[in-house]
Amino acid sequence: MREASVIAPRSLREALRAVGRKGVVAVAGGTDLLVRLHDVAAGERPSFLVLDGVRTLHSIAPRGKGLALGPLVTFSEIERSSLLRTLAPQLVEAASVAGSVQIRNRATLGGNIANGSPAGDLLPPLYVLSARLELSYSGGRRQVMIEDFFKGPGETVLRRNELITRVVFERSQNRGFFLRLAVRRALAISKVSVAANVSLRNGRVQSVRIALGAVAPTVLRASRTEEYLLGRELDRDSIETACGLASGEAAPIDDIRSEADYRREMVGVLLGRGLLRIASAR
Amino acid sequence: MAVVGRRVRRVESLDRVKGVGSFTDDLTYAGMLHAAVVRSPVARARIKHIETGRALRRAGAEAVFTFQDIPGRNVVPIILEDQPFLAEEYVNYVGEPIAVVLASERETARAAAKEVSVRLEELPPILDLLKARRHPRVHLFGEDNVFKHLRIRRGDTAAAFSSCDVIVENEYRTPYQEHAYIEPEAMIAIPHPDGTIEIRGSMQCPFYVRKAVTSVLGLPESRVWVVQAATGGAFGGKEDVPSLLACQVALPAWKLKKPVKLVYDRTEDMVSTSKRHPSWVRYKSGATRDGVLKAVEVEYVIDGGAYSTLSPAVLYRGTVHAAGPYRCDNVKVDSYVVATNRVPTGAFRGFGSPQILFAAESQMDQLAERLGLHPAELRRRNLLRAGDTTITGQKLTVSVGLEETLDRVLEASGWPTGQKRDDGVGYGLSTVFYGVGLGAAGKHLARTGARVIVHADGSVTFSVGTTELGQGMTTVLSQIVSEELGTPLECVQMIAPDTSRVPDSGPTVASRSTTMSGNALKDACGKIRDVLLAEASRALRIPVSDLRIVEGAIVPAKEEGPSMPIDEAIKSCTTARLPLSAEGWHVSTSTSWDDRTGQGDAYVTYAWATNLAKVRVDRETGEVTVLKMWAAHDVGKAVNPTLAEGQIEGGILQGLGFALTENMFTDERGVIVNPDFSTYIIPTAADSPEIVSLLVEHPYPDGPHGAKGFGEQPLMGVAPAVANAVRDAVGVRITELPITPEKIWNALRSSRRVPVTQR
Amino acid sequence: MKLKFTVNRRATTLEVTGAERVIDLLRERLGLVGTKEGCGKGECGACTVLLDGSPVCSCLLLSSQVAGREITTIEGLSEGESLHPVQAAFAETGAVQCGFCTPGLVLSSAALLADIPAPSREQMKRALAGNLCRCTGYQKIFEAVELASRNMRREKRRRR
Repeated sequence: MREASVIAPRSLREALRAVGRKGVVAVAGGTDLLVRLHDVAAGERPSFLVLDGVRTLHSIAPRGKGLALGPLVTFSEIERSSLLRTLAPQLVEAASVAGSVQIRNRATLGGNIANGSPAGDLLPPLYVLSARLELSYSGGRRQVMIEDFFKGPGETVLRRNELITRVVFERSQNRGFFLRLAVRRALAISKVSVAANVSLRNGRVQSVRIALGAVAPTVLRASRTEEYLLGRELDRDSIETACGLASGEAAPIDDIRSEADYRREMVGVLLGRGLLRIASAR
Repeated sequence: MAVVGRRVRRVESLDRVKGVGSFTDDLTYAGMLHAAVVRSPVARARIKHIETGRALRRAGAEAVFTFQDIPGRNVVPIILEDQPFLAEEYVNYVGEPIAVVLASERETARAAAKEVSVRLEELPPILDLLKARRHPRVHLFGEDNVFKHLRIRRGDTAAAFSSCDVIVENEYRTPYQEHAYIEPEAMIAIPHPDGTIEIRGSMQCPFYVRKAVTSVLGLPESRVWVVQAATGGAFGGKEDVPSLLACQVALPAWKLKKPVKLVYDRTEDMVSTSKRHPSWVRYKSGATRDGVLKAVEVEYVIDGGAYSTLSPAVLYRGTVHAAGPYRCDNVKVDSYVVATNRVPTGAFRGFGSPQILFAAESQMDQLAERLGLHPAELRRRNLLRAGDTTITGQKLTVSVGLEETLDRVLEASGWPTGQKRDDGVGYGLSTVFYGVGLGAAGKHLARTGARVIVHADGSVTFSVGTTELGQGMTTVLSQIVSEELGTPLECVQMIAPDTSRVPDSGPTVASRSTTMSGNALKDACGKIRDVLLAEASRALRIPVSDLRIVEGAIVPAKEEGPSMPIDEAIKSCTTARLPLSAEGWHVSTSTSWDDRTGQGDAYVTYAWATNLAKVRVDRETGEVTVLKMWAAHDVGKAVNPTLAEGQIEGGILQGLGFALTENMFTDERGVIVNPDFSTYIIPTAADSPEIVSLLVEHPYPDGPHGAKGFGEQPLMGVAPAVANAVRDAVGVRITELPITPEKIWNALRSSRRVPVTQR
Repeated sequence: MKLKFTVNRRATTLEVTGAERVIDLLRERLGLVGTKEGCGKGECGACTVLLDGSPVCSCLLLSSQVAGREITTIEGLSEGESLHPVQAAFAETGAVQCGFCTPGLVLSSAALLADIPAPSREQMKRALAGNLCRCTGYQKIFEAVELASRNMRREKRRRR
């Protein structure tokens, strides 16, 4: 790696000026990027835009009724944030099961998003929290809903000259969960994950968002399931029907981690467990 | 005994906790170059041309070597000598070495290796072990692609089955298991001006390495000097493979007259080095109504990969262990190791036995179920005791502690034998045994040397030809030397295993270090004791036969009379110019094997064990949580109980990986698709259950202080215990490892479609 | 670029490109070979070092990412011949077998105990799951952490 060069900006302006340059790749925590570059010879490596020094990208702050997170917030910071524990429990649950301590200490929110893996653990929670991404470039910025950000596995709408500079979401006044299955208890990529954000009024579902991870080319909203649940009481029958619907909405594949049929059914199992938890917590 | 049997601290642990640099990659030599290996990207092909120009033009690249540069023979000598060091005309597996590239830096060497272009004409490969035998078109080895066929013929199975009340027949499969030692394979060669070459690296078998390097360089053994560096785990994975690495550094070092280092990248290591043989087993067993195992018929096929390496020996162990640790008068075993276009498989803790024991112990539980007997009871009715005869016709006389291991586990676990609960919790048992040492298949290697020197100040150094791999040999042997000579443990120092210090002592495999090197050291220490006692006898005027060494002093065997501190005896010997150094030598007691019938004294003795797994199975997700494991092992004598427990705990976790998560997938072109730690799933701290280790000691009279080898055994019976526990928990029997949630879920789903009575 | 950072309590300045892996800086430039490379992909934890007290994989860390920060390697956990209580406990309980993963596990354990002085088994499992060990089965490692925890708390009480 000795030949590769590094740009280490101290301000966002500097960072945005550099990001568009040819052969430059932005590095947040580096826990995915450096794995992907492991077999790339030094001469063929890109220049790294190391973002660590840009202070403003590290913040966790309330914004209006919601929250604004900098993209360099690490999984460990999410895991330990008492603010997030009350305002975005799904995100905290997801951050705390991913990888290992070493990985969580470096892996970032922005990196998990930009990486674009359908198994990225923070993504289903961000879907159900209706997260908006602020994408900045030299001279401007735009906002994209998280669901519009991903085009396919590893493919996003982020342009070469843009950086994710902020992740904004409404605070969840609702009940939520993130559940997943993985090949072992730690240091593992999800086989299937389900996140949800549910609010109840007079025992009936007033609003609901459900997102499924690792069962389609991108994270998936289970919109037919959501539609079905809206206005219903959470009882055994409705939950069972919802689980069946959600399984049907998943479009999983066979790969080295699991099998399509299993994943499809587990979507229902995990959703059922989460919804039962909500129903019984009433 | 003052030191043997005590929980003394591992001697090298202080260095390890401080991170002192003793591993191969920690070592650096002036002018050292780095090597990288060019490998076959395809499973089978004819080599048309090797183009090295572009690689050599890269800045920092120094040289490329192919088979044409080999001064000696292009062969890695193991058993059958069919494996080339560097491919010549054909490549036969993905990852087969073709050339070695040298550069001033590791990164440069690796980049340049990618720039060596090899023009290949691809040929259709064989990738399936069952299709390999008698393949109509592809001939990789001999006429039938069978490296070795072994058989056991005992009694008359056909007649015996007709008198059985229950017969269980099933097929079983097990996949690759990768050693996943945390230190990748690593080796350094240092050419010396006197015409010798030093090899230093991570290895189990310095004498195998020496043989390979002398063969490839065409040198006499006197000029190849092999020293083991600290080795970061091996488990069989550093038995034959380091010979390849040693040649990969020795050839360029010899040609360029510079030190050369080679460290495999993790993925390269996982793709190209040996693993546990994938297996297929057809197993038929029969018993009478009263629970007597009457007959066993086994067909066992394992995938040896492209070259035979250690496969014939692996097959031998699997064959001898085929029926489990039981009496059975009618046995027919046919086992085959076949050639395929996959990476050569080799030694891995258990060495061909875990696969067959998975089948054998799954069968026992099915028999118990059909007979309505408790699994422990069926085993108790059949297990081997002193005086019994094994399926190879070997009469067991002493050190048969199997039943005690069963009793200890049942007692410690309090396994509830009452009615079945419906909480998804289940218990699973396995009883297994382990033939200690190389056995009849490796009889010619069953000897070991040692050298002991007592210095004038009373401190002691010793050398052996077996190696420390983390199993604790250094500590155990130091304890034995300390015990024999009455020297305080802290004054005993082992010299790193070195081929120039002791005669060829065979490999460090087959759980043989404690017994073999321990006995050789006892032999050497005995000679030194004779000198010391003779000197003391002269000074004390007491006959030698009436003297003993007790806690640092030579004392009369009878209570009264003068004594002499050891230090004084040593001083006196030094003054008298007597030799206080000695060679020790140990040869195993005889073993035998009839190739036609598979009858004979297969191993010098056996270790014995019982495992019990307690699991919880989630009926909805199929996920298995191992709640607790109990394991009792008859080890003869635990020279160091802490280290023995360490072997049990570590072996169990590796066994749980084999049982539940470890699997290596090869695609339709023969490429391993998950060669890293994020996709090849070994257990983490979070996956480890509570483990209760129980040591049972039925002394083995020919072992040092009664000890017998057992380091492999802890892994061997874990998978069937888990499979049996899963069956107990949720009623499904999984016959293919690993036991994944997907398999359990599929089995539960199909079992729900069938009425319970027909299961 | 000039990299200024602290290694094992010592202010250190090195001329770097900024794109080197920290593990290479430590092992090759500073001779701190106690930090081991097991996979190069953050999947085994053998290369664990403490970055401002928190465990990270030094194989996934660029030199430019540690500017101004403090790194502790196994060589810096204790001074001279003395042992950190975690190191002593690992040797005492038999938590070391081959020893290749040991430096990383010792550092992760030390960081855990700095954070949670008396961790439960579950907390230990969570904290150590990023350090693969293929030899021990982890039992004696947990025992070592428990022993170190007791010794450190006793020491603390005595100082009070």
